[in-house]
This record gives sequence, structure tokens and C-alpha cells, in this order.
Amino acid sequence: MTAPVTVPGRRVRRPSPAAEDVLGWAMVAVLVVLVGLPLLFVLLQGVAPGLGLVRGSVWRPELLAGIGDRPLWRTGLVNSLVLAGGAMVLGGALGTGLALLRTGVSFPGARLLDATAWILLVSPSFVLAQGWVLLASPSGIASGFGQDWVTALVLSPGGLVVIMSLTQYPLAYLAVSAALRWDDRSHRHAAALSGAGPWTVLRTVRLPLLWPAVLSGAVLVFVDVLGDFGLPAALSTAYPFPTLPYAIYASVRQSPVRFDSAGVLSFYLVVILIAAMLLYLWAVRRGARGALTGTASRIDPPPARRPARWTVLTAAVVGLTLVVPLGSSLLVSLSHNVSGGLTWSNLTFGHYHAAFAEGELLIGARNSVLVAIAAAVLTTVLGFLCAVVLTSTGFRARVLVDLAGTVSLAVPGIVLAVGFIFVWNQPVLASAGLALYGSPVLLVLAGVASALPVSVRLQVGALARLPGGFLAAAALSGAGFAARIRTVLVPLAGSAVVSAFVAVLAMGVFDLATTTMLAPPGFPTLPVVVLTEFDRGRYGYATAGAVLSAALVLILAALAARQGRRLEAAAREETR
Amino acid sequence: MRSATRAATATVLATVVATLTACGGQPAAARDAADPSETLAASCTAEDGPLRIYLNPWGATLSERFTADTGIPTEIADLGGGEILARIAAEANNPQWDVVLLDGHGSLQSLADQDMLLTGWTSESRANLTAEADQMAPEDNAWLPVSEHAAGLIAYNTDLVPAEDAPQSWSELSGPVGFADPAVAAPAYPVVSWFFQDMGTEAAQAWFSELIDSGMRVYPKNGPLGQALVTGEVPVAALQEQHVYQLMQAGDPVDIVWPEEGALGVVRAAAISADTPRPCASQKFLDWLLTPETMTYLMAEGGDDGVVTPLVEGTDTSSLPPERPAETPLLITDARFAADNEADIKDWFADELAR
Repeated sequence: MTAPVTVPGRRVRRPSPAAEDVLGWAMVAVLVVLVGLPLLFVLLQGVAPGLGLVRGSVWRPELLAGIGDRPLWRTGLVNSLVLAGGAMVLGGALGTGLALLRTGVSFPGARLLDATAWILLVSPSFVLAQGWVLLASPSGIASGFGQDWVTALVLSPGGLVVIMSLTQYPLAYLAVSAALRWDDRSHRHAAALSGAGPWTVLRTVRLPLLWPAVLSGAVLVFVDVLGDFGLPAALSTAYPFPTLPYAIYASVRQSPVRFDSAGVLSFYLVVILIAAMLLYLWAVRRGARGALTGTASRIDPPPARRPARWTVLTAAVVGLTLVVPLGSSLLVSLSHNVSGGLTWSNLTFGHYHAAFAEGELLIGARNSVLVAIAAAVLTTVLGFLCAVVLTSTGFRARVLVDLAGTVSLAVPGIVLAVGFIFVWNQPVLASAGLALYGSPVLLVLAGVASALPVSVRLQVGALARLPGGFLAAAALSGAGFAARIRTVLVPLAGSAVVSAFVAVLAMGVFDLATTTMLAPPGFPTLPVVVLTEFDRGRYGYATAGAVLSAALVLILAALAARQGRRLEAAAREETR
Repeated sequence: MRSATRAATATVLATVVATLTACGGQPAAARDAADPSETLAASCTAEDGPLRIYLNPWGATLSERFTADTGIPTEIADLGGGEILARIAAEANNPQWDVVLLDGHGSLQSLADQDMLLTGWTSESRANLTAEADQMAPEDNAWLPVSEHAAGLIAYNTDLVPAEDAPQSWSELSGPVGFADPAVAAPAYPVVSWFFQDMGTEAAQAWFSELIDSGMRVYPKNGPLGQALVTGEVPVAALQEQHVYQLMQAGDPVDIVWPEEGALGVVRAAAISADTPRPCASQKFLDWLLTPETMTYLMAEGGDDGVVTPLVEGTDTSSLPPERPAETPLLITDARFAADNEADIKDWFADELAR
């Protein structure tokens, strides 16, 4: 998703408008093919079942009214709204609170908050949710210790809201932290000179200035939770709580397959998400009204007066958001029996041994990593180019790029995957030599489509902050469009490019929704192998697979980040 | 520039509309499938390229043996029954499969009703089928039954339910009974549909509503259902037989009742795509599958997937686990009834659970 960016004074001399337009239209085409067409196909199934699949499909817009008639759909809609709305409030508040703490004072262990947020962001939501389910299911770890109350507490609508908040708050945390890193002291100094105390300054100056970031962070949590497939997939074995994404998944995996249902449910999901995105854009636009001036500076938080208190709080956050779910998974992966408790006789390394011995998990991991690397490279390049179009060109149809990027963030992976089958299995493409359906290439493209909005958003944020004068100076010195990108934007936006790459790579390794639908025959992927084993009731083995997946994701993310920092440092050196 | 934007948007829309209309698929039967009457598996030569098999049971055990026996290469999609049907539906206008093998003959009858299966071909090994299976199979060979097994028998947790208190027939089920979800697990629909066929729609709906009200729990697949039975989350479950034996062999506190009137059965069946570019290789596959030698091999080497009642005469069944009773009467839903009522029953069930 990309916020519309208007940077005054950015539109300088454009020696090669043709190059900008070519790039702009190329990005529009990429987004239409990767996101627009698949989404359109799915949505059309809701009003014209069979369109593009069989001859003689009939226009039946009345199908959309079915949401009021079918209890399953109604319950799914209500559950989704409760979950996403609740997580938006609670996760938004948690993220904002922690961001205020992190940027407000310094204390030992403060950086753990950043690390936790990033780990949560890149960890597969299915693995995290599965950890909670293993802890709290009626036959889970907690009941093995005789703590049955955990089940009632966690497996309830309120409990699920809390789980989703603990899992998804990093979106709000990062959005608010980013806004807080830069601070215009003159506002605060003026307030302080007028006699306002620290709380009054926070309440009357900082929070109002921060409001757009808080709101956009909360909306991001809402969007992510609403489209999330990981929790409902993990939850399905323990607690009946149908949501819209799970109902869509079920409708395309049953016999007879109900693409019309998937279309109707996707329609409502997308409508809600677009409404949320409009709210987000409105918030971002309001925030762009020059709250910061030229005197803004990066703030260094003063030491906390009672650092121990905040260190304990940080430890509690890390414990509750990471240690509990991942620890539960680790415990199950090392146990003979899920509810067998913490005894020597229940301890086993057999599941890990089986994971390495049976081979399918390793083949799945290799396939998933290869697909994720290809998708991450492609996504980062395309994301960078989209961000360039949005922030650094005078391309008039920027709004199309912006809109496509925004809408596609709101499309759940499962919807996109169904659309991909519709589009890429058309006979006309096969006859044109583009028979990509059933080949791993399609997994890469689907990975690009689902990750591109995130990548664009991360990079646009960085590019929009760059002083426009740099580009103008380069242009005046005769640097062409490509040269300006290469010599000015790439080196300066290096860290954002690396962040985008790391995020996309990590998310791609465990792309459950997409690979479930699109994995070609004989091409097992990590999430599909893990989910299949959960379905077979081999919880220990499946959880060992999930733990190994999480470890793999984190190692890849750490390696990519480290390598990225090196490259960036080298690029800076060269530019100097 | 604004007009350029508009023009570009119009072009994109026009392309979309053109794509949608131009590639609106043709009905399968109208396409250029080879004339099945021209090919006879024994005399034809298998076409080039791997035979693409979508299958739920037996996986590589089956495909590797087939290639070893016939020299025909294969490419398998080893997926859940629901996933296979989803793929087949999504590929409706450009099928990517030649042969399908899954549990649930009603689902294959549905595909046959949509003209998606090859009919009218001569099956050389249909004569190997048991009399019961031959009667079950459609005359045009749209699909052929391979084996049958209990998709639901009464399994109970022996720690919680003494043997004398265990329900002995389906009508005795009550309270927190566990079922697999018919909307998600392929073998669960034959379980639920039999009650609708046997009792009539209204009576079956009333019976299930009562069960749901008295605490019935539904799990997405048989694996999690079996785990829930072991841990006592549900004391009694309508569980697929392979899962029960697996649990009993692992020493879990589980035992079974095979009701006198029969366990709820599912038929494993195979079919050929109406659009297959490899009709000869496909027919060779089905003829190979329905031989006593192949069935004996698959039952012995197929692990859990081999725990079935073969519908091919002369199959050696000595590999069946000792936990399986000698007499295994099965209640099988009629394929026509299963196909005609599938959407309604599944929708009703899902809505009733959500209610």
C-alpha cells in the first residue's frame, strides 16, 4: 500500500519525460496483471458464476444478498469484524504505547522491543497462532498441566482478539515509532514555556501530532487481521470460529467447489478492506500537512527515571508475544504426547529426527526458500521502481499505481491465489506459450503479487523523506533519469530497500495461503507439508516442521539484513 | 495527459473484457478429446509425456509401481480429496490432469454429470470387479470403483467409556460425539450423506440438530478428530477406520464398535478426464489398477491407504491389520444421491454448525 505522496518542490526539470512515462505505464501494467486481473476474476464469480471458466455463465447480482441469508457467512462476517476491530483497538493501543515508551525514554533492553516487533512481523502467523492453539486447546499443553481455565480464557472471541493483538501489534508499533523518531522540538518547547508539564505536552501536543500515525497503524492491524488466514487455519482443529478468509478457503476446497461463494465473500472482504484503506489514506493525508518543519530532528530519548520498571515490562512483552507461542511449539515438538506434560518420559527428539529423515519437509523447505528468494528479488526491484514512480516522477497516472498498490494490500492471499488459477490457466495463454499454471514460476509471481504492496510501502516511506533538492541538483548537473535513480536514490534509500527485501523474503518462505492453492504437482512447499501433517494429526512432527520453519525464516532475515547493511555501507563509501 | 490515462484505462478494461469473453471455456465434451472407441488399452500405444495423476491415496507407492510395470512415466499431485476437486474445478476450462483417484464416488459422479469424465471407453479389467462393484459402477465407465472402507465407525476412548456403555449402533449416539467436517474432509461427506439417504432429509436434519445441541463437535479432518478422541476431548467419535487402527497400534486408549447394521462406508474410485490428451495411457492405468496383482501390492505396501476392502476379485487381503474385524458390513450412499444432494447437505451442515 502506498500513501499518495506529494512533495512540494520535487517536480523539477524533467529532461526525459518519456522514460518516466514508460516506467510509470510499465508499473501500471505489472500491477494490473499481477493483482488487478486475478482480483477481478474472483469478484466477478460472485455475480456471474462460471464467468471465464464455462460457457453460458449468467449475470446474477442477487447472489451478493446471500450474506444475509446464510448463517455461516453471517457468522464469518461478524467474527471477522469482531476479531479485526478488537485487534485494531487493542493491538493499536499496545503498539502505540510501546512505541511511545521506546522513543520516550531509554532503558536497558529497549532495543529488544524493536527486535521483537521485527521477529513477529516476519514470523508466519500460522506458526504463532498454532503455538497458542497448542497451548490452549482442550487437549493442549495447559490442560496437560491441569490448567483447564487457559482453554476457556484463550479459546473465546475475547481471547482470540488478545492473541491477534499480541501477534499483529508490530504494524502499529513500527508506524508510530517511525513517526516519533523525528520530532519538532519547537512545538514542545513552546508548550513547556507556556507552563505545560510532560503529560500535558503529551496529551495536547505530541498525541494530536501523532494521531495520523496512530490511526494508520491501527488500520494496518485491522487490515492484516481481517485478511489473515493463519489463525483460522491453526484454530480450525480446536475451536469453531469461522472467519471470512476461512469461509473462502473452505468454499474453494469443497466438493462441489463454490467459486460463487468465494466471489461473494471476497466481495465483502474487499469492500470492508477498501473502506479501511480509505480511512488510512485520509489519516495519512491529514498527517502530511507539514507537522514537521525544517527544524525537525531525530530524537535521542533521555534515560528513564526508573529503568527497571520498563525493562521488566519489555521482558513481559517479549515473553507473552514470542516466548509463549514459540515456546509452546518447541515444547510440543519435543514431546511424545501434546498433553503429556513436562516429564522426562515425554521428552523426545524423534519428531526432529523424522523431519530430517523423511525428507519431504527438507524438500519443501528448499522449494519454499528458492521461491521466496526469487519472489523477494523481483518484488524489491518492482517495489523500488513503483516507489520511484510515486515519489520522484511527474507521471500523471501515479494514482493508478497508488490505487492498485493500496487495494492489493487488502486482498487476502487465498483470494489472490484463486484468481491466479483463473487467469493463468486460460487456454489462450497456453497457446501463447505462457502456460505458467502448474509451474513454480506461478508461485513466484503470486509471491510477488502478495508482497509487492508491503515492499512499495516500505520503500515509498524512505524515498518520500529524501530531500527533493538532491534530485534537482543531479538533474541540473545533467544526470538522466536512470542516472538519478542509480546515483542518488539507490544509495540514500539503501536501508529501506534492504528492509523491504528482508520482509518480503521472510514472509515468502511460509506463504501458506498461496502455496496451498498453487503448488504444482510434485513440488511440495514448507507450509503445505506442515499443514498436511497437522491435518493428519501428527502434531509433534508438524510442530517440529513449524519450529524449523520459524528458525529458517529468522535466520534468512538476519542474514539478509546483515548482508544488506554491508552493501549499504559499501555503497555509502563509494558515493562519498 | 488525463486523456492518455483514460485511454490506457479503457485499453486495460477492453483487454480484460476480451480475455473474459474470449477464454470463456468450452464445455468439456465439446472439445477435441480423442474418440475413446478408437483406443483399446491392450492394443494402443501410450502417448508421449508423463501421465498426470491427481490422487489422494497411495501417492508415490502407486505411481512408481505403475511406471515400473508399464514404462509409462507419471506426474502425481498427491493432495487431499477436497484440494483435488478444487483444482479440477479451477482448471475446468483447461484441465491439467489425465486421471483422478480419490475417496468418494459421489464426487466423481458429480464430475460425470458435468461431462468432465471420459465415457464410453472399453475397460478390459471391469470384468475383474466384484459383482457388487460392477453393479455400483456406471455403465459408461465414467468412473470405476476400486475399493471401499469405513469412513466412519464408532470409536470410543476406553478410559472414559466402559465397553459395556459404548454405543452399539448409530442411533445410540448422543452427547459430545466427534465427527469430521463434511465440508473439508473428503471421507466425511459419505458419513453424513448416508443418514440423509437413510432417514430422509427432514429426519436427518432433526437428528443432527439434536446431536449438535447436545454437544457434538466437528473437526476439519480425521487426524485431529482421532487426537481429540485420544485426549478425551470427545469420548466417542465417528472415525475413519485407518485412523482408529493407527491409534490402537500406538497403544492409545481407543477401541471400536463395528455396528451390526454396518459402518459408514466410502468408495474409492478412479476416472479419466474427458479432455485427456493421453486416453491410451489413462486407460492402461485404470486397467493396471483394477488387477488383483496391483491391488494386492497397494494393500500390502500402501500403509494406511491399504486398509480397505478391495473391489477387485482375487486380491490377497492378508496384509490387513489384525484390529480389523473379519466381518465389515458397510453402509454406502448411492452415488446418484450423493452427487445430487452434495451442495445442499454440506451447506445445511455448515450453516447449522455456525448457528
